Amino acid sequence: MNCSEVQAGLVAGFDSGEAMPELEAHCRSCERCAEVRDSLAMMFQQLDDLPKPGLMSGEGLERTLQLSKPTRPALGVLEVWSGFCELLARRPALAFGLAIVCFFSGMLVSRPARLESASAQTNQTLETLTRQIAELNEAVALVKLEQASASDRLQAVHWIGSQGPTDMALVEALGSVLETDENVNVRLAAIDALSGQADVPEVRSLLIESLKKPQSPLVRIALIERLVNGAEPAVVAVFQAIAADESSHEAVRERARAAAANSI
Amino acid sequence: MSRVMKRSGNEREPLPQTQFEPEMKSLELLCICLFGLPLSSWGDKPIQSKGAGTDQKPVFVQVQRGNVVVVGWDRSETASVLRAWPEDFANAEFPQPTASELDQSPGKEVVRIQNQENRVSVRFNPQRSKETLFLWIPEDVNVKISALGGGSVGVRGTKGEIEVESLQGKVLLDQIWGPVVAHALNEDLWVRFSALVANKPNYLSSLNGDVSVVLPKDAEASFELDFFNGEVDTTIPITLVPGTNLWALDGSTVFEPSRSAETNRRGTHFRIKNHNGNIIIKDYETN
Repeated sequence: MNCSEVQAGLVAGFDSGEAMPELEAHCRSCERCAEVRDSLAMMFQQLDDLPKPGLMSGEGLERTLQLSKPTRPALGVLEVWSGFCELLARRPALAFGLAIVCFFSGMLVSRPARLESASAQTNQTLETLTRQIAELNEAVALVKLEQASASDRLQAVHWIGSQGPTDMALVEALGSVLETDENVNVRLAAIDALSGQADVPEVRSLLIESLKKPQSPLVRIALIERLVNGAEPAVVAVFQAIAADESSHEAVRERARAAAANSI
Repeated sequence: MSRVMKRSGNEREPLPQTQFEPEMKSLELLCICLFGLPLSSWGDKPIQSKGAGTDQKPVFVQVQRGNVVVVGWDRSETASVLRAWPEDFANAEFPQPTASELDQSPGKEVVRIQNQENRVSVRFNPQRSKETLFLWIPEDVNVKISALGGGSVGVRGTKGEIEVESLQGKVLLDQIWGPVVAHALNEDLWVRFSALVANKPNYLSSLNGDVSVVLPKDAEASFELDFFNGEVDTTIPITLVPGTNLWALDGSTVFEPSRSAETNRRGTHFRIKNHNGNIIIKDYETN
């Protein structure tokens, strides 16, 4: 019998409580198996020293079972809530988990409302920003109209024209350019910018007054072309006056004649 | 001016305070960046930047008689001599003035150059109308030329803004960057660009002359044309704006309006207006 068989036999012998003289003989000659035997003896002794559960009588067992059975009387709402609170008090982990679920549920439920509110505020802010930027652009354009650089003034006139100058301040600024700017091309650009509003009485009046004044032939031709459409009698009279004016450039007179003939 | 600024300032309202203020501030910055970009790009933005900016004074040239040729050079001073008008302007060489030429500079009664507070003013008024003033200026400065006495105007090799008005003479602008705002009332207007300045519009016009624009082949430019008695000759696809080539009332064509054309291309904007002349737009290969 080798050591492994002896040690396995020792475990079985202690478990069964049967004496095994051959194993004891081996342990006397084998120090290692003796140590295993001693260890097993100590362990089983400790197991024996553990308190043993007492046996209950049938009545005691029934009473114990009765006490441990949950009582389930008919419950009201307050009692349910009270019980629920007690449960939460007893189970903090459950309470914490429930709180997290409620938090995220609330977030999900209120999200559309919050988004709607944020969207409205964002839109309002964007509108304000857009208006301020438009005002800023307008101010910059009006400042640029005063610049020495013709290209800067052209840029400003183009910008105003692209906005459709419905603001009278812009219309007046373009009218001022048309009257006073020293550069022919900037004045031409101002006519272009105003032409989209040529039906507006104030704008039309500006164009007519400008046409009456002697200035660059190309500018006058551009004015005639802008005013010919739907020319009222007063404008036709201006056309006729220019056509008859020998001091005007021949190209201008020719265009004025054609415009007057077309408008009659 | 002050009225305008005051008006704009008074109407500005503070931003509403919201519970999303941090996000709003970020949004505000984003919007300002997005909306403000076109505004901020109004400044000079050369496609090919080189050298210092045009912080030097602009040069204003007033030609009461005769012709003028303005040449850009890489020096900070101006110089002027009298030479003959080059017959073939586009291919002519314009050597810098020699010492002997400068010694024979015309008197102040002919050429008067004044260094004023905010500009260099040049006034040219020769005895004979065939005289031509050659004026060298720093290449980066802006130049404004007014030739109301009938002479021609030439500009070569400048990188600043050019503003020209000529009543009776030709306007020839070569190897320039622009932007150009030029008007030649009764003669041809010819412009050959060596580069374009982005975000700066060009405006070229003539009553009785051809308007020609020559661009580097890779230049990004858009055109808006307006012409009457003339044709458009171009290597760049041009589209006539529908409905504007003829205007009729009750079937008559008594008054024929100007025709309009434009390109669909994007880039530096050109507005060309002509009445009794052609519009020519070409490009050339650059090396």
